[in-house]
Amino acid sequence: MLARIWNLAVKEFIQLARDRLMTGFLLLFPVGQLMLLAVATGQGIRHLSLAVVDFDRSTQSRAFIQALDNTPELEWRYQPSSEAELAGLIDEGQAAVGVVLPDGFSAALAGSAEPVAIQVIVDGSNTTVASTGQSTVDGVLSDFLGRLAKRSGISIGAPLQLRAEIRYNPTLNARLFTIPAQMGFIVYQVTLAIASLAFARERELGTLEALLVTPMRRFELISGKGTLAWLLGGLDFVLMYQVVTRVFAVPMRGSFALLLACGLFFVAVEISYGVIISSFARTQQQAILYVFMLAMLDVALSGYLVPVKNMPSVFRAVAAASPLQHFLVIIRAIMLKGAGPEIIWPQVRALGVIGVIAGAVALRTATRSLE
Amino acid sequence: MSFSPRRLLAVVAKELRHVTRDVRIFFLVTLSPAFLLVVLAYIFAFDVGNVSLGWLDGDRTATSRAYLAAITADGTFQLAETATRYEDLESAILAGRIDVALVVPPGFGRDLARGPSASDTPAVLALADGSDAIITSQVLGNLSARTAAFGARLSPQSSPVETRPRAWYNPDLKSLRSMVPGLLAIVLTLPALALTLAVTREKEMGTLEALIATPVRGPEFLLGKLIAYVLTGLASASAAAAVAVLWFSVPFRGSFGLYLALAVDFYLATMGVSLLIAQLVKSQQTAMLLVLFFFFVPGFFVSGLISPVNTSSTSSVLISYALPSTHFIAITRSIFLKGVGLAQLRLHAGLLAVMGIASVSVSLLAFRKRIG
Repeated sequence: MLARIWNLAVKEFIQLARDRLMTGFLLLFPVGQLMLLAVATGQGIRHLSLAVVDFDRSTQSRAFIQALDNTPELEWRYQPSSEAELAGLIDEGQAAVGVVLPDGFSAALAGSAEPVAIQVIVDGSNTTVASTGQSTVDGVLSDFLGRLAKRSGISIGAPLQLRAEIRYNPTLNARLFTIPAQMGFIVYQVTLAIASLAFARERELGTLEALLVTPMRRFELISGKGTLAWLLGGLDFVLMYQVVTRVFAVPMRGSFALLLACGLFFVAVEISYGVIISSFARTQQQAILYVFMLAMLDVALSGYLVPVKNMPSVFRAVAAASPLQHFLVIIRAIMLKGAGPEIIWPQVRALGVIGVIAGAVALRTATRSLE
Repeated sequence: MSFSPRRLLAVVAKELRHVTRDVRIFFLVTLSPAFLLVVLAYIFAFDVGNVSLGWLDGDRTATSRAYLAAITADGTFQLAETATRYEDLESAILAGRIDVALVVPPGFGRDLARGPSASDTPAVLALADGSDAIITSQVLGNLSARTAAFGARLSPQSSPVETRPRAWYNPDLKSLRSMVPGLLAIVLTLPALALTLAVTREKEMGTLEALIATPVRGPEFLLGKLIAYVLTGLASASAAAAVAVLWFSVPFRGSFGLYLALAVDFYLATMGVSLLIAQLVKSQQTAMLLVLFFFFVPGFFVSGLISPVNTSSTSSVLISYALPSTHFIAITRSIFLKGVGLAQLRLHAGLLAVMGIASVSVSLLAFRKRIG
């Protein structure tokens, strides 16, 4: 039986190798996409374009603007002379954060005038940008007041501070997670694309009948088709791992063997989903559009962009069935936190449950669709 | 034989019939973007919430309990674990049971009552999990604001300078309002995918030869397909906008005509690239991978949907700007929320037009050569 499965896998390899473009693509695509995304992914919310209207024009106001510019989050680009000009910059999207320093800013700081308010205008059309902008300006102001207080010996404002100690990634560099997470996404796309078309393609081209009349049993047919996707997915994963750790210097604090084992297991679970799609779709076009929709949902549910626990409860339940979501937790835990098998056990177990169910459904639906 | 508008129309009609005949394809190209938008919007509309909090109280006074109550009052932060040792907090973070922990030092209540001295300001320590950087920085920003507000409430003196924050276009910073218009640009790549598949399918099934044998010329064939898919795409753009406004109550402050016009601009760019892809490849499988590669995955990650385009690095600007979704996200957010006109959007609209015209012309030229 194993020999027959292997024979079919070899046939699939030969068929793939004939399509030069496809072969090159399957090998280069993952690494290429990873490089591209990694280069373009920022470190997080940094260098937001800042515009300051300075009505005070004093040493203090300049020092304050300098303090804003010195944060990694803000970059001082524009100095409009009026609020109307500032409004134009925000409308066009040139500036993401606008600050208006009122006349009397330095006098208020010196304690010789009424308290004043600094206007902080943020572009609410992107809420992550807006809230980062607001809290950065608040933080700079409270530091600024604190330093002044120390120098003058009087206590003004900000009587309580929060000091952060951040584990695993002290500078909150977003790339340390976004880059390894891409490995999960890319392997996912490639294997799902191959597996989902396994039968749809043969059916559409009319070669499925030829395969069905061979002595191969249905189960062997399905396994043989899956082997190709599994091996390619594993190979892509190892290639991308090299890029992630060598080119982008993402730390690997845990065990590579554990990560690879989890990776291969994840790919196998993913293939079951592909085979299910393959047996439902009548044409390749349908299969592809199903994959596309599934992939969109899976990326959204993966917890990469939005924490799973912030989702509405219906989606949390659906997310629990997404292998990608569990695998990303595993990648993050092993690579950044150096977690061992006991820490990632809940995710591995979840993958196992999904794998058994999806595998059984895949075998059943595929066997039926081949009748 | 020269270009004939009549034959072009015939191709458009044939393609439209093709799309509407098969119920599943019809759903996939016209209604599925609206459907996906609903699902994705619920997932993506997140505001900092449900943060699991660890707590180590080294002070155990009325002040420290009041501080915990102030932090957890509105349910954004939920007390998940109370520890007596620092190591317990560390292992809870490693296992992911808590996202952030607050450590209140002994003497907290006393120091706070005394007020800040020249040498030191009373402080609380926040221990956070940095492995999810974007979320963590939002959580820390939120915690710091709450901590400062708690301090200010106890302080006898008012601050000489304070900030008056104002978020334009979206005053209460509801993320749904910012995500729904942005996600439109992601889900509206589906019509372009359908076009690539339609062309490669004809190639793979061999029906392209049959078409070549008819009097229809190459450019008429390609333009006909393009027009048919842009038309169905406009239907899906309208359906998706209706969902955004009627279902999610996202304000639509700009002009609907401009939205449709720029949607055509966006379709020309994405479908132009799709046609180029269709020229290059032989199978639908490869076409799908290329479309995933060019539009889909980068659409989520480098288009400015969540974190803004990193404008401080030239290479990342080049990559982000080469992606049609980046421009369309900026356009939809501006039209829906800012209500601006074409003048403010000229950069994005112009770049999309350049991409569209260039890619459509190249594919027309390449196609004519191949069958001529």
